Amino acid sequence: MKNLIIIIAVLSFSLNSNNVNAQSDRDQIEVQVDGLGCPFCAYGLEKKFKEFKGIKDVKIEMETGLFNFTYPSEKEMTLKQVESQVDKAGYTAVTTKITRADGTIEESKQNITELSDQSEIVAKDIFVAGNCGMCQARIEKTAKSVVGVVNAEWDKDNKMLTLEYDSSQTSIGEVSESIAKAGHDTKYSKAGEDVYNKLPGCCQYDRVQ
Amino acid sequence: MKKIFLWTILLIGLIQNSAVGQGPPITGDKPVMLGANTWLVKSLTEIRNTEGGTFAAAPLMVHYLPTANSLIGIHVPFVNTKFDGQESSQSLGDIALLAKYQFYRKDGMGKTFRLVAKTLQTVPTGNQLNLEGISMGLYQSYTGLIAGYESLKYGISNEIGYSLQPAGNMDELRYKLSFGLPLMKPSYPVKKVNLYFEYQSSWFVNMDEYLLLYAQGIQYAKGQFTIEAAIQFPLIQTSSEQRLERNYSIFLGSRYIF
Repeated sequence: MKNLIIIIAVLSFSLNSNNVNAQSDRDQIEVQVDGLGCPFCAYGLEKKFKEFKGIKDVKIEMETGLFNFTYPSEKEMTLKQVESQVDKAGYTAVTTKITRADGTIEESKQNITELSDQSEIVAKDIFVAGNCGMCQARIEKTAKSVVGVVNAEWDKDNKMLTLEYDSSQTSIGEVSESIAKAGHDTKYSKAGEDVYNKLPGCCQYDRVQ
Repeated sequence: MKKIFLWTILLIGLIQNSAVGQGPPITGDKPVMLGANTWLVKSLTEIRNTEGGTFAAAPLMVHYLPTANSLIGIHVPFVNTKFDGQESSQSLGDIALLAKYQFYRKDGMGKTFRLVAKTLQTVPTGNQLNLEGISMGLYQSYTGLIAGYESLKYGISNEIGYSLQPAGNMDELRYKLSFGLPLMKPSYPVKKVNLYFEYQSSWFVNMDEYLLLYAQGIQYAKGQFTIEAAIQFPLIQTSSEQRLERNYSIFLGSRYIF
């Protein structure tokens, strides 16, 4: 009986190890996709990507257009392949991020922010009004599209945007202005009434006075 | 007649802002395509009750997308006709060949606007029953333009086109407008129920006759499979000695994509 228990324990451990190893041998791919106006659109996107044998853990968020999946690391899917496949599916890849199994990250950029000797990276938090995951995707996408912005992350609970930017290329005011034009009030800029009214119902936050 | 047609188009165009929509319309056509190398098999049976009898067309439709912005298809209809006072009979209807090309696309987060050119060539494989859309037994050539805006909150699909019948007298200027109301929050994997409100405006140019149809439909989709049903009836219909006046039509359809 004791031997049987030991054998079962060893077998269970090795199975779990294999599972963990299998997961750690997979790259994590995240794509922001524009054009997903309906659930069948999402089906078309997933179907197109299933042409890559080995794709798993597919998840598509309709509201934000975020498309996630994992892929065997040894097959080395590239950013270009991902963007090309989204295009073949009939949609637009806005940003793509691949987290490799070894932890390295490859990311496509919406803008070309090139750093130089004059670059001075500044980190600041600013208040940006919004409600939901769709707001988050819109705010971050808009901020990252400004040349000079290195990183932007918006927290939908405390409404704070953590911004990293090169102060020699852009400023807080410029980024705020851009976000306001997309429909979101910030500490420094107010969105126009017509832009605010065009936001989906779930995104129509309480206006900043 | 021309004035009625133009005023109707204007009126329908003005109520766009109240539209909501998700997924493909039932009696109308759509601009959004699914992606290269996709197959779609579908059928939309129409049971049409007219002043002169009841007719049914059950087309088997197969569509294929060779690229993300093009589509080709074939429609093979099977027709059952029962004129008043006569026995019913079955036959093959007019086979049609379809091609669509999407030449404009603008995508945004959770939304898209697309323009598609469409042609439908109908060959005279059916009997000459003078039943438009079911069996004419004459060659017809249709060319149209589809414009559609789809977002997670609302969608609207428009189609305008002209059907030419060289050997007949039922040339038609056609306009279709479709609105859909999702009854469930959009989600993926697909599981949805939609209500549809669809209009078709037909001006038979040679005969100077006009027909405005309204269809109320419901659609259920899960995974790759969709079933749908609609009832259609005329809102405006000029009386004719050349066409059977319509009372109503019932549509029953299904689709499978793979």
